[in-house]
Amino acid sequence: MTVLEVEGLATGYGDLRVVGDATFRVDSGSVTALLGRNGAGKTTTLRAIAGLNKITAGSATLDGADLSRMPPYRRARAGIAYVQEGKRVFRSRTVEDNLALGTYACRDQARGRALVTEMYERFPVLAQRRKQPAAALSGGQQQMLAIAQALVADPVALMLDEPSAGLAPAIVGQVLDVIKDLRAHGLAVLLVEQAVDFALAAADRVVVLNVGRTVYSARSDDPGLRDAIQRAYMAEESELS
Amino acid sequence: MTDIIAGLATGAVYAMVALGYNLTYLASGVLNFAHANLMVLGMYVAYWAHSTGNLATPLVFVAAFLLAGLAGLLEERLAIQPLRKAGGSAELVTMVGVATVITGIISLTYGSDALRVPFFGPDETLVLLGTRAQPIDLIIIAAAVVLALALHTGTRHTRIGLAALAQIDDREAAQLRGINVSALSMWGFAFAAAVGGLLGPLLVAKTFAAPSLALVLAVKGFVVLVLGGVGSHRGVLLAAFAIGIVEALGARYIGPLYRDIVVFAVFAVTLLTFPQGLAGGRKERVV
Amino acid sequence: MTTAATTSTATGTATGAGTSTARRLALAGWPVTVGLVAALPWMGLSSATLRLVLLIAILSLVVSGLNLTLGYAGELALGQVPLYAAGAYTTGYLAINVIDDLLACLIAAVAVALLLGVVTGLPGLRLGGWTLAITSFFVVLLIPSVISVFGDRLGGLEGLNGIPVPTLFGADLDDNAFYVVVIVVTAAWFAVFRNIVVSRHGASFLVLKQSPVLATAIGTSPFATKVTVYALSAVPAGIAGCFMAYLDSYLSPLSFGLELAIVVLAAAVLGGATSVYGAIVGAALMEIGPLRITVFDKYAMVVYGVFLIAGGLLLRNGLTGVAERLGRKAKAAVRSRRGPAPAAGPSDAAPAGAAAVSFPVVDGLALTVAGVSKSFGGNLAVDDVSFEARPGQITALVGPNGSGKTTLMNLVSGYYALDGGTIRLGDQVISGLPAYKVARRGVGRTFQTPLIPQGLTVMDTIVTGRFARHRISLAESALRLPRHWRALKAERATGAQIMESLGLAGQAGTQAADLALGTRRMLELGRAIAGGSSLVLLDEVASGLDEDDVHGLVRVLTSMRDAGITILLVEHNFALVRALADTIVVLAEGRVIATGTPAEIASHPEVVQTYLGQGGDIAGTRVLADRLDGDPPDRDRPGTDRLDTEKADRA
Repeated sequence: MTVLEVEGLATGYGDLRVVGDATFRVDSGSVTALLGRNGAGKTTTLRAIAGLNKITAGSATLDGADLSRMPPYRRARAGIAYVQEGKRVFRSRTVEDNLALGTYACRDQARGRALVTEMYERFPVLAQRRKQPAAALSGGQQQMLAIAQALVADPVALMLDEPSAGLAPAIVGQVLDVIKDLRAHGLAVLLVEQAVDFALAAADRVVVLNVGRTVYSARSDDPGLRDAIQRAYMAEESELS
Repeated sequence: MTDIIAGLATGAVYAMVALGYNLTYLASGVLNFAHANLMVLGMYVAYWAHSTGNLATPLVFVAAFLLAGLAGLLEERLAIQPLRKAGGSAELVTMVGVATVITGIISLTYGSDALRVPFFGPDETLVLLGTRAQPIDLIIIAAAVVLALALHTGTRHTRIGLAALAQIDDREAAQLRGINVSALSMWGFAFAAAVGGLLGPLLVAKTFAAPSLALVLAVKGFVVLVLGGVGSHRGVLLAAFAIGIVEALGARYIGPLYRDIVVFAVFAVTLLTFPQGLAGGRKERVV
Repeated sequence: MTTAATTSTATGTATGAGTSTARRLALAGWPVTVGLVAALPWMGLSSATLRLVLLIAILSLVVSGLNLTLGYAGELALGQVPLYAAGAYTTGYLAINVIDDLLACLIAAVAVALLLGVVTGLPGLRLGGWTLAITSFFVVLLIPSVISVFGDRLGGLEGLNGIPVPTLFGADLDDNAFYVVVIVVTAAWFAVFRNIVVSRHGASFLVLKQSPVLATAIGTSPFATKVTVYALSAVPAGIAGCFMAYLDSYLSPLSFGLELAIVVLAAAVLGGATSVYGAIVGAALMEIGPLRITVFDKYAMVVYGVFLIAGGLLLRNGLTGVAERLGRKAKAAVRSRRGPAPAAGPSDAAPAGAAAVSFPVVDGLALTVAGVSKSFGGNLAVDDVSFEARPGQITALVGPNGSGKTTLMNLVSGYYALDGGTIRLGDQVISGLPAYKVARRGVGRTFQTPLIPQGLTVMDTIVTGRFARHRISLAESALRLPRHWRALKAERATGAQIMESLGLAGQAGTQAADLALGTRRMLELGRAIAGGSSLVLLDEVASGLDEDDVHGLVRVLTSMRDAGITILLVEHNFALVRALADTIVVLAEGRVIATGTPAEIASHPEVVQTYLGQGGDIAGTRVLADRLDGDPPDRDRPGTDRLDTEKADRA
């Protein structure tokens, strides 16, 4: 079932339009990867869905509800969880506080508390270090905390921006396992990645953006996929726009 | 000993200013430079009530609370909020502007002389543990302690306190976790301003009401804030008491003219000795 | 090399001084304007008008000091008023009691203002920001107390009366002569001010304002720079005080209060704090407007306050800024009609390193890390680590997150003090030196998140990398001595060569902070080697790069190695490390667990288990063998068989 639907979305920074026509959908229990060169507008698209950048044209809907008019905190409460790149946790707060903050967007507080307990079981290291400030965690642990913080809000759709960046290969493998597990639990996952092999290992569907436009969209086992990605990464702007 | 109590009371006044800074900082990530001016505004509400007569003391407090709160709300909407994304020292400049406007309006209405407002409470000198003390001094000291404790509890043990702390760490990420940072800023700012105004009628009997008082309070409040650590309510309270005592003893033993010079010297030497502030020193990764 | 000549505006654009034509015009226009203003007394103007001009000159001096600290160093310090008062009272006291010579008093006034500025500035400068602002407010507050304390000498609260008419070299100066002196000295100060701001010193103020960490990485000491700026800003305040004392022959402590501080701030904001001549514009507006109208007195504070709010909200960087922004908007409009902005798209520039890549050959120095340890609050982050990075080689530092790689890099850079062991560059010990001194020894570096300051062009950004090792004194820049010009020429030439090697040729004038991530990483590389670094430290330099960028990076790094530079790389992308590194050092929990060639490391069982895990094949941006078209090194590199076959094909 389609949960998050993005149709002809345009957005940017101030007068600068970065994304002109992004179109894709994310189903529950599946992972959609958004690929493309640096500057193709992947992160900007996620920011626009989360409400950090203004949607200037097109639409983004969650379970049929229009997101574009909601301020960011309402979108979070509506079920959009966005894990930004760079392991952005509240660095001066403890692990425990970070998870408590994650539940602010959860409509049912009892459910939020139950999810926190679940996260401690899923990531035992977070339970061990619950009283420590997030800044004291290693990069891999911070990434796990960032994901856990998003999950305790009991989201409908999870957006992950470069979850493997800056992580040791072994940790990248663990992140992949987490994503597969979330999919199995019925979550809709939207993934932005620069590491193509990682994205392909995680995703059911792949959407390729180029200069702010969806230029390719297919299942990840589509035979023409590798070629399409290759073209998007090599192509000069003029050829496609 | 009498000096010490008077010094503690002076310190308590500074503590109230600094706690106001803490509160606006927690709510919106900005230190409200005009906070002392809002407190002075509360003092003039008391003067106005006193000169027109017939306003019950509780109502004076309510009026001061509301007026300062409204001013704080306007300040946040007009001078802080539009500059959120600008960065740099723009909001420092606009807040100095707000402070100047408030002071300007007060001098325009009431002139620049210091005005006396009698204390609404008891004013006969008490003898406490063999020392003479003014009731108002004791009340002010108690009020500062209560305020600091209340803020400490509110920040550490409430949902809204945690949201405020998160918002200081990363405002954008706080929005993504479902926190309405814009409302938090606005109402937090207004509440801090209102509390500042509320304290005005209490303090005015000790300080008198004068437009020039705001800068003195603002500066001493910041001195205390820097020494005690931004965001640390307990640190600020202790630093304020210390500075109050230094000031009282300096005036007593070196001369009243040297009062501020002594405080400045102590402040400067402390900063040079502990460049991170007394409470600071938390080292984080640089790069 | 022609690029070097045509990009002569590089440093100029950092400070908004405009194009070279405009600069040449300004150069010619400045003496003419000064001459005209100086000749006003003989053009039949009333003495009231002349006094107004003098007041504008004096106020603009005070404001320019604030511009220097607020606009360029980014610190709000209202200490200008006490320094101005110090200059004025010094002059008053000396002229009445000791010597009534304008030059002597001027020098003394500046000296006292400087001294007071440094003494009162030092406590606040380390913390900066609010602390400095408040310390300076505090000093304003102290003026009446201090003057009362010296009551018998300085006239106390009643004011200091009877300052005589100035003399110069024994001759009395009449009003007109005094007027000319004030105008000429003010003009001279503004020329010096402009020369400093439009120079590498101005650029280093800008860097410091935005990133103290970067400032140390390019070899400038943040504290020394701040003290310099603060001291420098005392000079015009002292001069202004001296002139004011002679102009009015009476000084009152009341005229040096908070209100003046607000007027100065309003003038700075109104004129534009990040501009040289904004001070004059702001001062003129304040003197012609509010300060002259006496009815206005009553409402003065309210109006200044409104000025400050409106100025802060609307006039980002004052009227000067508004003019600049209008200019930029017009340009942008023209550009948007031609197509997308050049800075936004990553691929419209030639791919990085696509051109024949060559860097200036340097003598790389070996980095020797011996028995280094570091702990944070009881946690041992780096535990007895030893390794060597050889010149002309790429040494990669890999390991799980939290294994101490970045800590080690920060120890080499001097950002952290080590607890044990030594770090040597060549045969000299660099451990224990502060970060800016390490940079001056020839250690360049990049950052996980590129640190590219706003307001600098690509050319400017690259040449900031030369500050550490090619130093020019402030005086040489201020007076535009020959060494300044020689250094400028040399840095333009190096900058152009580096830009070409990085595939950035033609982007010299682009705003660096607006570039795409891959380009900013390239720019950081360029900055790191611009000073002729013998060692560069690259912290996750490929992180976030796409495939095209990564392959450009490989080409650039390979040719940097071929130029003889010692390269130490912290990187998680194992495919990239395999393709690039000569030696890999693996850290785990702060300790070295393996050192060897890429092939050895890739099959090392402990490394595979703790570091690579099941993510070894999927982590990081792909590095494709068929896109590595750079010359593979000639050394024996068993780990790169894919490259070797490619080399055979080409040969």
